[in-house]
Amino acid sequence: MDIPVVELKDVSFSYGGPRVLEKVNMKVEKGDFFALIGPNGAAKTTLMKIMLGLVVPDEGEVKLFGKNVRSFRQWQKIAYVPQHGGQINLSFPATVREIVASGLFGKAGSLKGKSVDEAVRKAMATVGIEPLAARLIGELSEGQRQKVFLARSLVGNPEALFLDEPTTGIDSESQEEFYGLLENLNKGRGLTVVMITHDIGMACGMANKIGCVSSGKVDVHENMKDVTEDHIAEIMGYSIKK
Amino acid sequence: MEIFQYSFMVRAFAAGIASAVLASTIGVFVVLRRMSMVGDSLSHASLAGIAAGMFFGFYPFYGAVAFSVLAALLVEMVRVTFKRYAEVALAVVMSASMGAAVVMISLGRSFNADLFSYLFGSLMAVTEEDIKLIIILGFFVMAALYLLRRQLFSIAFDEETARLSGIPVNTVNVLFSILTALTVAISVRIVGTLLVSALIVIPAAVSLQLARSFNSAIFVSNVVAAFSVITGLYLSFYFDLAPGGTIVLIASAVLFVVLLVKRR
Repeated sequence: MDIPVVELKDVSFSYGGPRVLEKVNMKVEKGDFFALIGPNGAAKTTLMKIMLGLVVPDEGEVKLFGKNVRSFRQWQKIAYVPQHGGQINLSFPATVREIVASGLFGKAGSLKGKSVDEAVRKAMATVGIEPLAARLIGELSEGQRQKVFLARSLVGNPEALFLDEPTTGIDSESQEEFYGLLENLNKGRGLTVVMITHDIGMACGMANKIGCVSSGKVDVHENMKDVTEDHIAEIMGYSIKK
Repeated sequence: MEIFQYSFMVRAFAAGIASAVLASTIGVFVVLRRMSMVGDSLSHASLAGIAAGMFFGFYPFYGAVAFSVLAALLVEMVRVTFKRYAEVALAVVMSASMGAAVVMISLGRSFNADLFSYLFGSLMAVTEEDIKLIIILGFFVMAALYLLRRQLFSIAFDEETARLSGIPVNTVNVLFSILTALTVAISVRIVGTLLVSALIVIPAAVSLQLARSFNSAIFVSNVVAAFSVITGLYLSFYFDLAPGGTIVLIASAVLFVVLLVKRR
C-alpha cells in the first residue's frame, strides 16, 4: 500500500469565530482524481491550503506524502494552481516562458541551462501554449492564463497537482479542453489531482473520489458508481437545471 | 572632456552610475511588489542615521547604512504582521525616522551645508571613503540580487505559489529588505535623502511601460536610470544645479514622454 498523498486526521480550523472545519478526516491516495465541491464560503480553499501547509489548523494532523506538513520539504513532488486567474498583476512584465520557468526556481536547483529550456518547452507543449511563449501574461485571455499556470505547475514534473477552481471565469470550450488535459495527466501519467470545483458534472464524470465540503464537514464519496449528479447536488443543496 | 579633469566629478559619476544601476534594479522588484513607498521610508531612516552620525560624531554614511537596514527589517516585520496594511509600516517608519532626524539635527545644531548635501545630493560631497564604501556595498548588493533574481521574480509574481515551490519566502524577503536599505544608503550621497525614492521608482515605472519580458524590464530600468544620472550630473555641473533634483526631473521627463507616446 502506497503512502497517501494527503492525510488529514481530526483537522479543525476557525478564523477566530465559529469553526469552519470541524474534525475533518480524509485521505487522497496516489493516482486519485479527488474533487472537492461545496457552496461558496464552505472553506474549500482553506481546506486545500491546510493540506499544503499554507494555513495552520487549530487542531489535528496533516500529512503530505507521509510527512507532517510542517516539516515537508519535498517540494518537487507537489504543484499548486491557485484560484487567481483574474487576480494576478496583469501589468507584470513577464513572458509566458518566464512564468512557466519560474515553476522550477525553488526546486532544489536540480535543473540548469538547457535542461530548464527543455523542461519549459515540454510543459508548454503539454498544455498547448508553445505559440504563446514570447507573449506577455497580461496579453492573454483568462483561459490561456490558466493554461500558463498549469504549465508552470507541471514543469517540475510533480506527483500531485492541487488546483483551486482553475476554470472559474473561462468559457465552456476552454473548460472542456482544460478538463481533457487534466484527465490525460491523471489517467495517462498517473498524476494525483486534487481539485476544487463547482462543476458537479465534471466531478462526477472525471473524479474517482468526491469530497463534499459543507457545514465544516467533508463527506467523501468513493464508490462513484453509486454517486449521481443529483445525489451530490442534493447533499450540497444545489439545484441542477435539466 | 573638461568635466573629468576634476576628481570630485569622477567620483560623482562613479557613485551616480553605481546608484543608478542598483536603485533601478531594486526598483523593478519594489514596484511590482506594490511597495513603491519603501524608498521614501528608508531614505528618511537614513537621514536619521546621518543626523545621528553628525550628532554623535561618527561618519554619517555608517549611520545611514545602519539606520536604513534597521528600518527595513522593521518594515518587513510589520508587513508580515499586518499583511493587508503594509503601508502602515512604511508610514510609521517614515514618520518616526523623520522625528528622530529632526530632534538630533536641532539638538546638535547641525543644520549646515553638509546636512544640505545629504538632503538634496551633492557633486562635491562624494569623498574617497564614500567611493570605497559604495563599491564594496554596491558589489555585494548586485551579486546578491543576481543570485536571488529567480526567487525574487517568483515572489513578486505570486508569493503563495513561490512558497509552495520551495522558495524560503520569509528569508528572501528579509534579504531583499536589507539590499533595498543598502541601495538607499548608497544612493543618498548623490541623489539626496529626499529624492532617492524617485530613482528607485521612476525608472522602474518607465520599464513597465516598455518591457516585453522581465529581463528587458530590468535592462530598460537600468538604462533610464543611468541616462538620467549621467545627463543630470552633466547639467548640474555646467549649470550649478542640485544633482538630485536634476536627475529626478530628467527621469520624470522620460516617464512623461513615454506615457505620452504610448497614449498615441
